[in-house]
Amino acid sequence: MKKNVMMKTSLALLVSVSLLSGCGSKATKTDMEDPSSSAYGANSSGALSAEELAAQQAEAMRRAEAERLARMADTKVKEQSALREIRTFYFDFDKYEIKSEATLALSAHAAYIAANPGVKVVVEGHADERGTKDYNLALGEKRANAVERFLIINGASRAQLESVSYGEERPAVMGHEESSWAKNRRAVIVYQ
Amino acid sequence: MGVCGEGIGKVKKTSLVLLLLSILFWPLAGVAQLTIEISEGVDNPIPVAVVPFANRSVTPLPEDVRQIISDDLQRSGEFSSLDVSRMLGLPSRREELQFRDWRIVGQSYLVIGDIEYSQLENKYAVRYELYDVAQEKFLTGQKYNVTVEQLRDVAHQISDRIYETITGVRGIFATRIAYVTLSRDDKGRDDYRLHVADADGRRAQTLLKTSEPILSVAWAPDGRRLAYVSFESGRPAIYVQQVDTAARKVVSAHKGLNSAPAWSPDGRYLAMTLSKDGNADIYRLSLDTGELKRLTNHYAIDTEPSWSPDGKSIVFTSDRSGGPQIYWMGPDGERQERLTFDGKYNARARFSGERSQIIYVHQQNGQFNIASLNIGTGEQKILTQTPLDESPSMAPNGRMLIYATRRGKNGVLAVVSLDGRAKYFLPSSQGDVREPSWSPYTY
Amino acid sequence: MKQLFDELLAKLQQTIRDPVNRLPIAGSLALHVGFVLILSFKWEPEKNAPVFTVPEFIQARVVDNSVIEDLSKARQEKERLAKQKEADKTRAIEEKKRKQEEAAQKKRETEQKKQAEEVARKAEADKKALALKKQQEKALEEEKKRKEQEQQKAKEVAQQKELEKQKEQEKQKALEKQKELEKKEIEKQKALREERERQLEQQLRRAEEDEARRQQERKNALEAQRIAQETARARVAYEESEVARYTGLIKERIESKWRKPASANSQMVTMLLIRLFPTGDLDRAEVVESSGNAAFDLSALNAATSVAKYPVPQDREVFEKNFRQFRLAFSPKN
Repeated sequence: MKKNVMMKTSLALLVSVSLLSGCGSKATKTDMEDPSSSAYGANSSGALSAEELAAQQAEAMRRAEAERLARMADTKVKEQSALREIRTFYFDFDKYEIKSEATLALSAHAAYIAANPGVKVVVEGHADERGTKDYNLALGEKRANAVERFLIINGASRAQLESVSYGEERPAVMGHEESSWAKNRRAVIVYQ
Repeated sequence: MGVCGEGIGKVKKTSLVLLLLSILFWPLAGVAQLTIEISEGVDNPIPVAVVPFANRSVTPLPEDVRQIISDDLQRSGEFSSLDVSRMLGLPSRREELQFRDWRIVGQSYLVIGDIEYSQLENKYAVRYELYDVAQEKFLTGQKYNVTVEQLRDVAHQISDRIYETITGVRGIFATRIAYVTLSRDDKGRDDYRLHVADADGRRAQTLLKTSEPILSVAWAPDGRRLAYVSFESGRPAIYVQQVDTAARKVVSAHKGLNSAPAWSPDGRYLAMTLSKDGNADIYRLSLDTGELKRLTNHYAIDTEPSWSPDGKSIVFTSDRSGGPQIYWMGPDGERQERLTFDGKYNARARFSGERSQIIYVHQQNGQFNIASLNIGTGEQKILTQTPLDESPSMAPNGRMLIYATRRGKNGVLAVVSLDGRAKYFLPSSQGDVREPSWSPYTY
Repeated sequence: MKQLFDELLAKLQQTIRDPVNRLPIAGSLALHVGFVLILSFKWEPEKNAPVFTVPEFIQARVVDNSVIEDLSKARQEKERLAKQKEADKTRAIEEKKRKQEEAAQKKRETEQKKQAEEVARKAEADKKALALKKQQEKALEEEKKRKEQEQQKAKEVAQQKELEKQKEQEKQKALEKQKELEKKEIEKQKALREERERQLEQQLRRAEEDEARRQQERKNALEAQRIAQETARARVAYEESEVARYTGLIKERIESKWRKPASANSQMVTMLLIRLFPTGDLDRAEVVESSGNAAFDLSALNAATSVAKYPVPQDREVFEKNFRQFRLAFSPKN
């Protein structure tokens, strides 16, 4: 039973990750498998169609979720709640693509936000101390935006979300080595 | 005279032989006067002796003018100042000068002077004279009449005059720097402060104190205003503040990013990074009309604009190639063109004082250093060696730059000259020091 | 020679002092003086004749030989008349050479006879007086004396005959002498000719030698010229190397003092005119071409005047020509 749930969730995640990789990776602007992701990744001009696509996808996911929820409501609630405890998502140096391991938790947040229209969320973007402050400010914003977009794609409403970048100004860990830096390159979901 | 006469006698003797030889070899004798080409010099600092200024009044002086000048010249990396203990005399007037004394200790230039306090005016008369020791020649000098508060300014101005006379480049000793410090207050909260100090780090004043981040400090070309980014409202916004009066106003507080303000050379525009339209792009704000013009429009990060001295170009950082690189464009965003190709990370460019050269942060072997690039030749030079160097800001004479780096746990400010001759840290105040900005000329 | 002369003189003086010898010596002296006078008179005209002095010596040697010859002959013939004969012989030569002299000779001879006769007459008178006293013996003695006188007369005739015979001999001798003289003259002429030939030869040799010398001199002059040219070439090469060397040294020294100002760029050129004393001390440094940048000019002047002593060549000529006054062109390479 549990295995089945996991499998289904993984399937859903796979779909969303493949979508996100399209918007996240600047290098692969054109995703042959899914031309819609290309439109999404291609700047703000494609934002409208991207949103439509995202909505469609979200709809499909919601249906899948509903089916799942209907069958294993109890277990799922518990699991989702545990996943939502994960609010910090890490990034590689000078990157703002969401890592695959982050998607499970992010999906849980998205589901929760979608299910609770009254909830407001601020996504904070951060960078490590390396590189320039202003670029890091922009980089932090890109990271926050990446999370924000994931949440929207996964059902959250734009109106519920807000993003802010602190660049390298608010490190989570003081330290000047890779282990510290890795912890500081992050986006944080903060429920208001 | 006797020796001279002998010399002439010998000359006469040889002149006959010379005449004969010159007839024999007239084409050789007709060769132009010998010219020796001198193309190489030495890089060692120019030795200059700054003699303690004589005090012509009974009261002790509140400032050691000699020390200020000596430190200024020494810090520039282009001069070495003679230690007072090595001086064979302490002249303060022209008629007391024994140039031989200074040649013996290997000095090229000599600075003497005196200070007289007038109780009536409550002012100090500061007089200095600069001499060329080898030529035994007076080069320049001046007399200033100043208040006690202006004594340091005068000392820096004298340094400027000496520096300019000898190097041909305007001095930057009387300029100022702005920077940000971060420390924790009693309650463990962040304490960000914006400071302005003399170029030597002395006489620091606090312009702003907040628990939220302050960054991107930029001097206005008039030297009287600062633009910066403050998070004091919880979100980044761009402020412009009068240095003297502390009066300030928000010039940009759009949704998303409001960062990296850069003054146009005429002081009428601020280039800045906004993300109000969904993505970090560069905009140009007219301070006169408030008109905002978008200069870049790209889904990648575009930030850190900086104007060329002639106002005809703006350099900026963009990761449109996959990582941050330096680009430039016209003042309306036209002709965007990539400038850096070496390395995966090149950001926050500033013009070095001329159109043809920029300085920026360059990543190499895991380190972030300040580099310079000759735009014409593409030649890149690494100027600093510490691992985390950032926020370079050029001195107005284009000779040196100030930047932020780490020293132990703390961020500190350091100065390096473009030729690498000068390298020094500024005296550290409390906490982390970052985001330096070098003022334009102040007089 | 002088010693011999002195000895002779001493002997002569001794002889004169001896009273026994006085009369004959006086006579002999008178005779000798007479001969000397005659001889000197005879020799005088000849004095003008000789051009060369050398033949005189030759003649003198010949005369000496003849004297020795004569002496030996005289000894062989008559010892007792040795001295007399010598005089006579000489006289005879004189007589034969000039006839006027012969008369004088005869006169003297007759005088001599007269004297001898007078002495004889006196002796006769004495004897007659004695005979008168002693009559008996006188007649005998007179007879004797007459016989003696006859004998004397016969003796005198014999003597006369002997004299003539002598004269004949002397004549013969003179002839021989003449022949000898002629022979000597020939020899003398021959010697003269030889001498002249020798001189000619010498002249010729001298001329040859002169020519050789002249050629040598010409050769020497050419060689000297070649050496001079080579020296001059070497001089030029030397000077060039010295100039290069000291140019390098000065450049090095100045560059060690030059601190390019911060404002320097490769377009800038400052030209300085440097004047030095031969010691290498700076006399004057001045900007003759400005870079347009005061600090750059100053840096150049400062460098040029900071050099306490310029390295300059010891060779004054090289110094005067190149380093008394020269230019320094300051221009950064990059």
